[in-house]
Order: sequence, then C-alpha cells, then structure tokens
Amino acid sequence: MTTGIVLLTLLALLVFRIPVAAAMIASATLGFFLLDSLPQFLVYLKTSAFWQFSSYDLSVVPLFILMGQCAARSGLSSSLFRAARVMLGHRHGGVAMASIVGCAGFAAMCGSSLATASTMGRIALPELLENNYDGGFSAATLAIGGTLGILIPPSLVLVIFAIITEANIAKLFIAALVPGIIAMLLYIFVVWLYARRYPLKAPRVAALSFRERRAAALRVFPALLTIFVVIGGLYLGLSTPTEAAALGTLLVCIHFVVSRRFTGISSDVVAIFSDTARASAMIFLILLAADLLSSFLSLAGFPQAITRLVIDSELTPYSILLLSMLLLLVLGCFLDSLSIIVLTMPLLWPALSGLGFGMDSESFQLWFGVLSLILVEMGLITPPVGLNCLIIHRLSDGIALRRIFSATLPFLGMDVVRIAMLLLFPQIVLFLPRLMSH
Amino acid sequence: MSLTSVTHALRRGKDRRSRIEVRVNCYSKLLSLLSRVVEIWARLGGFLLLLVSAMTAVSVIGRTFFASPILGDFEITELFCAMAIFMFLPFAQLHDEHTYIDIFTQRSGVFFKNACRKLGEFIFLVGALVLLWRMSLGALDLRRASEVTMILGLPRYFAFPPILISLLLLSLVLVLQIMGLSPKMTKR
Repeated sequence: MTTGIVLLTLLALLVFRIPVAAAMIASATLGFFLLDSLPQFLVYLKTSAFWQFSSYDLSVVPLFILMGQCAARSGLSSSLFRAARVMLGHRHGGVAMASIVGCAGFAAMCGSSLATASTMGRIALPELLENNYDGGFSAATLAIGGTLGILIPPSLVLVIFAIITEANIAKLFIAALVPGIIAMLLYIFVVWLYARRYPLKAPRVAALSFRERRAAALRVFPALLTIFVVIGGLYLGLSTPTEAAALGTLLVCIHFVVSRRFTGISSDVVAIFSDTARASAMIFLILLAADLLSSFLSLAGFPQAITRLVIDSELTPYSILLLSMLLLLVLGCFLDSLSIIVLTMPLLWPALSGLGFGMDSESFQLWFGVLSLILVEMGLITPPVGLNCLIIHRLSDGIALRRIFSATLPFLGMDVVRIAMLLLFPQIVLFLPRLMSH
Repeated sequence: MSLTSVTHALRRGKDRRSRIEVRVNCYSKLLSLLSRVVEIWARLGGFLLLLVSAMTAVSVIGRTFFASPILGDFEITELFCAMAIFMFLPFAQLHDEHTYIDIFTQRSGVFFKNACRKLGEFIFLVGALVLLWRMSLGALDLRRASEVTMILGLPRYFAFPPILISLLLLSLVLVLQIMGLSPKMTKR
C-alpha cells in the first residue's frame, strides 16, 4: 500500500517534468514518512552520500568521463574516423561505414552514448553531407553508431549495473565487447545493403593515394594504443577499471600535448573540466536519489514482494525474462538508460537471479547485463524521445527528426536480430570473460 | 488632479521603478558573482580528478613495472573523487543539467512548465539544505569516532569541508533560480 502510493507519486512527478533525481528524492522521503521512519532516514542521511560517493567502484565513473572528454578534444576521435574513411571511403556507402567504425573506436574510449553520438556527429556528419549522402540516412547512421558508446567498454551504465547487482565490472566490460563488435558489423551490413539498394544516396568517394592512406594509418596509432591499454589492461587483469581509466586519461593527455592540438589552459582545460563536471554531477545525483529510493523500497520489503510474485506466477523463466526485457524496452521510450537501470535493477535483479537459466549465477549476470544494456539503448533511437537522434538532429540544422527516425528502422531490425542471437547463444557473451585469467 | 500631484505620482512611480531596477541589478550582480565562484569551484574539482588520475596512472605503472605502487592510492582516489563530485554539483545545477521526461508536458503552457520547474528546484533546495544539515552532523560524528582510512590513516572528515561548501553553493544557486533568475549562459 505504502509502496503503491510512493511509486504513484514518483510516476506523477516524472510525468510533470520534475527531474528524475528530484522525483526519486521526494518520493523516497514520502515513503520514509509513511513508514514512520523519518528519524532513521535522517540518521542515514548523515553519511550515506559520503560513503556512496567515496566508493572505489564508483570512482571509475568520473574518471572515464574525464577520459572521454579529453579524447573528444584531443583529436583522437577524428583520427579514428579519418583512418576508417581512407580505408573504406572508395566503396559505396564507405563514408557511412567509416562513421560506424569511428563510433565504435571512440566508444572504446568513452562510456556514454550521447557523448559518442555528439562527438562523432560533429566530425562525420559534415563529411557525409558534403559527399552527397542522404541526410536522414547519414543522421541515422551516426545516431545508431552512438549507441555503440555504451556497449563497447568502457560503459558507464554497465558500471552502475555492476554496482547494483554486485557484479565484477571488468568481466562485464569484457562480456560486452563481443556483442558490441557484432553490433558494429551488423550496422555496417545495413549500410552495405542500403548502398546497394540506393547507390546514389550513398555514393563512393575517390580513393586516396597510398601516401595519404599511410599518413592516416599512422595518425590513428595513438588512439589504437589507448584502446589497447584500456581494454587489454582490463582483460589481462593488470589494472582495475579505475586504473584503466586513469591510464587512458594519461595517454590521451600526453597525445593532446604532443600533437599540439592543445590550445592552452583557458579554452581546452576549462571546457574539459566543465563538461566532465556536468556529466558526472548529473549521474551522481541520480545515483544518490536512487540509493534513497531503493533503501525505502527495501525497508518496505518491495524487492522480496516482487520476487515472491515472480515465483508464485509459475511462469517459465524464459517468459519472465522476456517480460522484463519488454519492460526495459517500454521504459526506454520515456527515460534515459541510466535512470532505467537504477530504477528497475534493484527490483528485477533479485527476482531474476534465482531463476537459473542453465548457467551459474555469474554467467547469468553477465548475460542479463548485456541484454538489458542493448534494450535500454534501443530507446535512444526510437520515438518518442530518441535522444541520440535528437542530438544529431540538432547538430544537422535541417534534417527532419521524422526522416532520421524512419531511417533508423533497418538498424533497429539488426538490433532485434542481435538480441535474438544473444538469447539463443549466450556463449557469445560468455566465452571471452571465461577466458579471462582471474 | 493638479499638476504637482501628477508629477509627484510620476516621480513616485519612477522611484519605485528605479528601486526595482536597483534590486534586479543587485541580484544579477550577485548571480554573476555566484556563477563565477561556482565555475571556479567546479574547475577545482576537475583538477582534483586530474590529480587522482595522474596519481593512479603512476601507481599502476609503478606496480606493474617496478613492483612499487603508491601506498594507499585507493584511499586517496576515494576521498578526492567524493570531493570532486560534490564540487561539481552546484555547477551542474547552474546549467540545469538534469534528466527529465518532457514528452507529456511539451504542449502545456509556459506558466505550467514554469511551475513544474520551480517545484523540481524546490525539491532540490530542500534536499540540499537537509543534506547540508545532516552532513555537518555526519562530519562531527566521523571526527568524534576518529574514523580514518585503512592504510594511510587519513581522517575521513577531511573530505567534508569542501563537500559542505559545495552543498551551500548548491543551495544558493537553487535559491536564486527559484527567485526566477536564470544565469546568462554565454560561456560554457
């Protein structure tokens, strides 16, 4: 009953455009009040925020944001796109394929979809349009390429998923790698099909000379080195995720200074710090609020109630899994991925983890984490919100949002194919983490 | 109505207008000062983060190649990151960096939207003030319990002064925002 009132309040506040964090804080407070536990709540507030923000696992979040911001401004992002462009540009649809590869590369240095979409959009969209690529198709390619940002490690949402479900962050990162690469290949396949069907809307670009190719290949080396250090260090167990982020930041900063793109403290550093500040504060505010709400929910015994409901429903594990996936997909239409994960996982995970899908609980955790991530990402490119499409739309001046949304449909089809693949063959997710030494 | 009373009335009106102008001017000066402070505060936080990442990188390299990590680097990371995040909060609030669902309210009027925005800001303000109050007590608790980190023995309440200042700045930003003053966002 109390839980019902609280959740309804939360919903009402969200509908009235109250920030997600504020809505969660208000409804959590109401909940504690209704349970007559305000004194305990006040005691909890004394240090809970401090302990939460000073947790070592979470320190990976601001550090990866810092690294992504540095990478975006140091020219590593454009070097990735340029290299892919000289290798693929002479094919039909080649520049679009290069944008996807560029997004995937940048995704390996950046943990957020929106940052990937806006960074690569700024670099690749002008080039696509200049080469007479269809506007809606170009924008859709970049919007969809942006979703790789969250899947290919590092991934901020995956860090949060790992913390909520008490999973191993490094293993989750590695588990998401192969599905991320599969996504990239499938998207490239869509571009290839499109270019075959409409060669005029995805024209080929004159091939470049060997010398130019070599120059671009050399220029991409620092980016590849950074990616190798970050992901390789995680895979081999040489560094914790936080340390991988720190090493990555160091490499990117060195490249920044050496490549002489660094224009001085006044512009670059300030911009990097400001963007890092805004992105991290937003995430941590939501985490803080979600922590309050979930401590109310566990005080009210709600996770147990959900678990009992799931057990009593006598549905097969797979239908429960499909129902949860449907829930994530629907929520993805309205909320951003982080909010969905912090709102649903404290409830879904205890209920699902006991079901057993013929695998041990850690494997299920990795599998479910990657699946949920793909599902919440689909919300970024589907109406009504479709944040990634919105970002590219704003960058483009003039490409109608409707055209972008309709052009993402074939890519979405590939997402469905990919989810089916992962559902049928969990090994795709699991084989790489199992090979890890620790 | 005599001429004198008209001029009196006019002057009174002018006076009131100029008084309002003075007040608005004063607030906007206050706001620009506050946004400057908040900006610098956030940059300091960014600098802390950069320090953390440099230290961690050095520690990993030291550990991997020379078997000599920096002692207690985890603890410094934890404390500094917590400080940095809190230092970012007022800046993010100044830029209204929040996620919300706006598809249901897209078509509603300006007045309604404004009211919703104010409600959100009000919730944050109450939250920030309560947190400021509770965390000041929390800092005293930690100090009384002489809570220190495991390896370096750093007292944990060291992190609290910047955290409390951040919460104070956050509350001030929110107060000005609720009063309907939004900062001019010329520079990011």
